[in-house]
Amino acid sequence: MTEDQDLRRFQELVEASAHRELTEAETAFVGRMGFRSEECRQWLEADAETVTTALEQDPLREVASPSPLDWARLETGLQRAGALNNPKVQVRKSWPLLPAAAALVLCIGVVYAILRDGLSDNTVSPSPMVAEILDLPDGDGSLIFDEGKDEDGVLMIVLSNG
Amino acid sequence: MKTCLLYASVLLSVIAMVDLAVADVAPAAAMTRSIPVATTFDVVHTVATDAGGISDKLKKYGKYLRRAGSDHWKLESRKQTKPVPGTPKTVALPGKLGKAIISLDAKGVATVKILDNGGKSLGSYRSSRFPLVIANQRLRINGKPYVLILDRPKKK
Repeated sequence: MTEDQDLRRFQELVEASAHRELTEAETAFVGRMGFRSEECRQWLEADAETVTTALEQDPLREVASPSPLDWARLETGLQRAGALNNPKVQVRKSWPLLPAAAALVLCIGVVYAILRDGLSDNTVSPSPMVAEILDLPDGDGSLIFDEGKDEDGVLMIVLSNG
Repeated sequence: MKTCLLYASVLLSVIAMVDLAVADVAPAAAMTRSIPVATTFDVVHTVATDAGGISDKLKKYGKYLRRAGSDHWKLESRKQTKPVPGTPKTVALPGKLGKAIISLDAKGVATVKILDNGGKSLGSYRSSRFPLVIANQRLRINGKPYVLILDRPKKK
């Protein structure tokens, strides 16, 4: 092989090493040419400088930052793919807590009402009015005057024949 | 499913709370109902007179006294007694008429049993309303009608 052919082969293998793993024979060729060929070393040094210069320029810096719309599209895509939680699902999960909390509040109110008033029915009317004469001597009679008003009293007159 | 379990757990906890509350409250309420409460009564002794109308101290009972056989009444004496349900109180009647045994039941109904000097019953009178005005023709002081009034004292 001529020196030009060796240089071209050397260049192809170096560039190919960026995409695939070189075989042992190819690696041995690159190493051998790096020691023997002045042209190959110069090309390699020039190529290294080119790469270094390209890295220093940082071409990614020229890429425009994503807009909020881009982020929204990305988020939507990730959610559809299942990589992110769906906020709608979270909202649905929170709904059962509301009726449960309302039921709990109602039940606590019932318990407090029972504690305060007891379980008996307080609307029951008060004890019926009592006005009576239980016993009298034989021959005696009685009259009971009651006007039927709660604030009124009772007059009991006992008439005696004795 | 999770919602059902949540409701079931809430319901069970509430039932447990109600059960505890009833267990605490029911005996207390039963005790409150069964504990007898002493009540203070005014025992008013009145005697008919020939004139003078109804004294100012008896104005409250005027409409009863006028029906009891006279338009003229005076206050003989007034005393307070405080019977406890189950424990009657005995009050001596003026003019050596005898005595009155005043008792009270748990519902606040008072019973007045009047005995003459010989211990003979002149009747038992039971009322839940006050004043309870008792006019018994057998009870006379110096020939004048006597009336016993059982009343609750004025609320201060």
